[in-house]
Amino acid sequence: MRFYIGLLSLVLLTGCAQFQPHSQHAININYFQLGDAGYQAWLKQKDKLVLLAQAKRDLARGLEQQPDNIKAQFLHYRASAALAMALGKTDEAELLSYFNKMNPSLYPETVSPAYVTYAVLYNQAQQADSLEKDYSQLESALFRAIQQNPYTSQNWLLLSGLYREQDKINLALATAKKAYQMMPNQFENTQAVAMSLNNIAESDVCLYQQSDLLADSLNYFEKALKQAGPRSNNLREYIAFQHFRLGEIQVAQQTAFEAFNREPKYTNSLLLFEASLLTANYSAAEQALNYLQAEYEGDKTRQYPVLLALAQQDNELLGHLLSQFLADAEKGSQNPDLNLYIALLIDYIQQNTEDASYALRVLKNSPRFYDLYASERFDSAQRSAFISQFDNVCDLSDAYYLLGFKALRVGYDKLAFQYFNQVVNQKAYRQDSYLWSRLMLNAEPMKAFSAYLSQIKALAEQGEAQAQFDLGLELLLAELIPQDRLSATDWFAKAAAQDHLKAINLLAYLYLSGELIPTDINKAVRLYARASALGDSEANFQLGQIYLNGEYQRQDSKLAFNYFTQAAEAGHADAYAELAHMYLTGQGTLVNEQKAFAMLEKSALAGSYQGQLQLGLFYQQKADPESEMTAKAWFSIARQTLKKSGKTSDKLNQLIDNLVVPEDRVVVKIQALQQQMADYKASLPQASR
Amino acid sequence: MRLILSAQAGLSVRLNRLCYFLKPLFFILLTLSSLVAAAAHSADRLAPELKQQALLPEQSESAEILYSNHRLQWLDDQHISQTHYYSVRLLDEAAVEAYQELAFTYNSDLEKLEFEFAGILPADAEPLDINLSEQTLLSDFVQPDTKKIVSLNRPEANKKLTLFVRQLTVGSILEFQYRVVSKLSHYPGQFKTRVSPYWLQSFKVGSKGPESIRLDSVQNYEVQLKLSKGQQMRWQLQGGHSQVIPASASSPDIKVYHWQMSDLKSLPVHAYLPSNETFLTQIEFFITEDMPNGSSASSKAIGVDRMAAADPKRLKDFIETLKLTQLFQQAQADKAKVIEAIFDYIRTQIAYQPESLSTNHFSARDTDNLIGSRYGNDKDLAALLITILAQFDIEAYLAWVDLDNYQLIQNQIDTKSEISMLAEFDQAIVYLPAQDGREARWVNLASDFIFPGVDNKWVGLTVAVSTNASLTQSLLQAGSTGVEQVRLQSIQIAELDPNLADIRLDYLPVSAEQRQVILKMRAQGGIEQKLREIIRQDNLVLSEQTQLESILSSLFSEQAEFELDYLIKHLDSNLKPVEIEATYTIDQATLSYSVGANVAQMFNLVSPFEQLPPREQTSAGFIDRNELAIKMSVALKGYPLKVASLYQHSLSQLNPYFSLQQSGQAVGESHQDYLIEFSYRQPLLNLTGSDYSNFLTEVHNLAKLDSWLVSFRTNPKRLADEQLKQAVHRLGENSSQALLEQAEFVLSRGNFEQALNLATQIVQQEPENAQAWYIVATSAGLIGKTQQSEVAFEKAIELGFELAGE
Repeated sequence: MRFYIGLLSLVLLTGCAQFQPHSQHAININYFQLGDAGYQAWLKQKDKLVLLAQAKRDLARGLEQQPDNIKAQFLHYRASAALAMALGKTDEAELLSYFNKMNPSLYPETVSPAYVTYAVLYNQAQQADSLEKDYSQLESALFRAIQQNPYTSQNWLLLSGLYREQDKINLALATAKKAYQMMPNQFENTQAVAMSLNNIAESDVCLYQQSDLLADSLNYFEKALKQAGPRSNNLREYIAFQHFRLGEIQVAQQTAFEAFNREPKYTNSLLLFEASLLTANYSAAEQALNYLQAEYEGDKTRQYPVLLALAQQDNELLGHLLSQFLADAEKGSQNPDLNLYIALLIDYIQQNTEDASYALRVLKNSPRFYDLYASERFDSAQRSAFISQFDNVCDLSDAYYLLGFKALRVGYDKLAFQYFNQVVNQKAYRQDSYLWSRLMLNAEPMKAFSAYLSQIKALAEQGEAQAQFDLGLELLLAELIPQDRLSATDWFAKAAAQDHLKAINLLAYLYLSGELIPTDINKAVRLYARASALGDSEANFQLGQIYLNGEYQRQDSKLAFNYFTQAAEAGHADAYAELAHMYLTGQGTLVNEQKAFAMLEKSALAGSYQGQLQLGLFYQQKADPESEMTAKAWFSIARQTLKKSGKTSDKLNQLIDNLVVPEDRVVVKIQALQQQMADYKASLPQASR
Repeated sequence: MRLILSAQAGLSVRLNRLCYFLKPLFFILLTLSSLVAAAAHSADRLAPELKQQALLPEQSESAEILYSNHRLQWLDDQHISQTHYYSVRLLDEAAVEAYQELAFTYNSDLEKLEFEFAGILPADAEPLDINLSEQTLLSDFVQPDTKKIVSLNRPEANKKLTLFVRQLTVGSILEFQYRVVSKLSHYPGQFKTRVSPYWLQSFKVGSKGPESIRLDSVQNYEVQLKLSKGQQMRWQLQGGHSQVIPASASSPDIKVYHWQMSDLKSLPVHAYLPSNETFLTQIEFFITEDMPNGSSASSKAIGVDRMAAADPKRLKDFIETLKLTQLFQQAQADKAKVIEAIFDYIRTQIAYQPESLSTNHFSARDTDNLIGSRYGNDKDLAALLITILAQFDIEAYLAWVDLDNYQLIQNQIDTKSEISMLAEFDQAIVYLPAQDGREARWVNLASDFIFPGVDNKWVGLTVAVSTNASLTQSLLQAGSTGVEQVRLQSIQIAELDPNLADIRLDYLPVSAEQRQVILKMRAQGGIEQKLREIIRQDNLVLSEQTQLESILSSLFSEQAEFELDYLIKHLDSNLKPVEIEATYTIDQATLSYSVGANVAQMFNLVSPFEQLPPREQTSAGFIDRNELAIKMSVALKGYPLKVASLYQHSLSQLNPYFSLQQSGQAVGESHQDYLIEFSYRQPLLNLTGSDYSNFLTEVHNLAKLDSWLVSFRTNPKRLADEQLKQAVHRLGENSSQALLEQAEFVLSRGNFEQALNLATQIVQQEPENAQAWYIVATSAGLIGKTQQSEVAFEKAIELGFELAGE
């Protein structure tokens, strides 16, 4: 009976003209179903507000009939809120009274009454273009919304959006995280965190210095994409963006391509274009370029074909495109507003002098760049001074890029190559200078270096020992590319593993000397032993040295003697000298002056400066004219072997001068001895020469 | 009493038949001379030898009764003997199959049935005797409750004798003769019986097919009635029955009447006999008191005077013991309770022994005899109840209920003789008129039901109530004192316990995987009686699933899997309604947090609609005198931290025929439970055909009503509060971590000022707490303290606050 009475009073309260007085069967009418159907109908025809108003009325009756039914509560509230929003005016108190009567379990999926106020205000502000001055009103609506319904993340999400619009990046992040903590499975929340993290990273002078934040942001974007499913293409763009900025260009290219294929837009086509250039996927780049040119005209778009031509090394097209730029520039004004990169390229190609330089015109407002580019000087001191003015990778990238062009201008191609590589090395991946540098490295003047490098790189990667050794050397010596000792060591190790003797010895030396990489005697000894096993005399000699002087290893004269002997047998001149010394002093063997002399003689013949000097001294001590003549001859040969000036050389000169023997006979003697040396060398086994 | 024949009726009609056999005159002379001896051990045939019968020409293609001969005799010892003879010629396989089993039902307490002989004459062969001891089987006879009223007016038949005649072949003739002798002496106004030429053969088509009846044609039919001098019996002929052939007196002391007919056509019946008393061409015999014969003397010997002459001591002792019973003592001055106590006491002390209702034996036994023997029939018990009630100054009247509800009107009483009118009534009950502020009541001791023992289906039945408070002057003397002492009434629902059912269901979460449903069902009136009857029947039959279990299982859909455990209470009580408590254990793998209830569950349990006649059968209208009220309360017990959320339900129904109220509400401290109430009420229905059609439509609409579905959904407020509470507890009440949790909490609730205060408090104690700085920064920023916010953000980051941390 209660229902019946309830219904009658409801009819009285909400009765309208068409509403017939109910028979008692009216109790069996399910108003909720009517209202539900009406609401669904409105969803399909949102312009028909009558439907919504009727649905709200029916749902109100339905709610009277089924006050506890959460579907009825939910739908009635929804319809009321929708009607308020559609009409652009809201009675927050009314909505709040409905809201407060709802089952609390609905709150997490329901908007707050104040949210409706917010939405209405926002729409009005947007239409009046007065968002900025209404921020505080909007914020306070959202604060109320949070207080009314603290169980939905939506209000926090909107708040985060408001703060982002106002560039309050920290608050934007804090509020986005609040939303995310509440409902971590809603992609909007995850996306808001990602955006806020990105904004904070972008607020840095150079965002590449915040790669941690970029990576975090990427993580959230990827999570958001998983949550959002295929519908959110924007997220895919953001993801491509962050991958790009983090240097994962291959992934960025694929992601951008996916986004582009789903729905081409300016951002994803641009990303696709750039990433495709960098990954040499020119057909994709062309696809993106076609779209960009068709949809977005403008100066910026005009440089893209240049980039593509440069990348594809189509010099003819490049020239054509650049001349168009020039023609337009000349036509346009006195001060053609050329892009710096285009200007630099034109200057270089046309070998423009200072007066004709387009780049200088562009650089007028950047004094540091202007000075460098205009300067007559180009020495290392000036270059270091220039670079030291910049302290972040973004600026450094640009600075190195300018240096590269300056080097090209003065004809230092190898140096230019190195500078472009420096730009790349800064890892400011989406800096324009990065893209240009990558392309310049493959351009005409530097093509050979690139080709060489890429050749040895390719071969090295295929496992060619010599190429691995060469690549190691390049990385170590850093003439073309920035030095990378660790990579160099890795390549040497790879070559060494293939029994590349030079690599083994060099690597052993690097470990022993500790000049470029940290000392590691054990590794050095193991490497030498390996070379020794392969019959390398230098390695044997080095091992002899190591065991003889005991600086790195336990001193072991006998072992040293053995290694020296092995080295000597392969014709290692210094090894003979060491053996001679050991025979004389009895280290590692018995004293044997005869053998010592024989060794000394072989050492000298084999070309050891030490041997020659010692042999000379030996003959000098005999103090007969013949011996003195022989001594003088050996000293002279030693001086030739020594080549360089210095103390030792001075001492030798003194020794030579002290011996008074006929010069002509000395010359003959020298010639005889040199003949002996040549004969000796010829007698040595082929391999050890 | 009106005879209604149906499948079951047929069986006992045979028993009621007093058959009379008119032999050829020469044969009568022979038999009469040895009558006394024959009455004891009658082996004399009532029909010619089978070989002689075989000469009769065939007149049927299936089966025919050759002889249907009957003898009715009022013996000198006042017992009545009925001998019946039938012979059947079977002419096709169907008939052979139908006649292989012959059933005879009777009440062993009231009458004795014995076979005299049976035999078969196969076609072209020598006669076969049937060995009666080997080929008969005596068994208890139980009639299904539902058929009692519509059937044969013999609720008292308790035995069934079955004769198996498997040797039958096509062309053979089967004969059998049996004798029924009453165990009671018959005095005026105590006897009535009917005889028909037909033999009602009931059979089943196939072993499990429906029961059918054959009424085959009859070639020769005779009834013989023998009365000694001074004995007088009346008869009434129905359906074209032949008139009596002039009586012949074999001796001065014996008069013989006989009736004879031949070539009666077979009657076309199928499963049920029409309720037409003329249908079977019957003759009705009865003995009335007003007959001027010798029995009037014996009439005085019983009844009033014998009741009055009863030894008062036994009754006194009986009442004294009654007063000692707990129930009686608890009743004290409450007369209603006293009545119940007396009811219970008589039920426990005196066994109800049914008696043939057709005997017009209206007199109760004297109380002395009754209490002494500890058993009695409906009249005895009613009389005893009235007698005892009188001792406690409670007014009570003997009443006679007409179970067939023959539409008697007062007018008929005047036109019919009182005795024959009263013969229409079947059972003695007691009427308690409204008195001492109590409403009028009907009480029946002769049933299995609890107090008041009246079957609620009797509502609307006509009852003849003695208008004289004094039992001694009641119906016993109706014949002589006149009809004005009897008033006709009909039983009103208000005079019985109302038909109520109260069902309570508790859905309890046992664990995350299991729910338990506890059912408590209580009923009153007709619904209780129905339950009781179902349980009684279940106890008689062993089966895999009892009827009650299938009813209890119908609480859920067939797909549901559960374990059922149940208990029946008060089954033995004479006063308390049975109660059923059942526990269902249900695995809820998929529906973990949703449960429901619906109207169908209520109706499945008490199903008031199961026996509604089909629409097309009620063009004449439909009467349901039983008002009905069913209630079901469902309590869905929830889970902590969840709130009961109704997401589907149906609306109350109100129409001219019934009302169904449905309501539900969340209950409990945090609305974690949900309570649903269903209430169905149906008033007395007296519907025309089209109204009935509308009523059926409304009933069918009930099946379309939505279920109530409640989902236990997370209560965000409780969850948040609880999480905070646990965190604070875990971290220690006053720790800065706990403060931090609180600060986060109030921040989430939109209390930015408070969050700022709390977080500031923390950073004052722990200036290195990066997280606290972050809260300071956030809350300060939210309330517009931009400067403070910026500084605090920097501080937090400087102290290593992870911006991307979750």
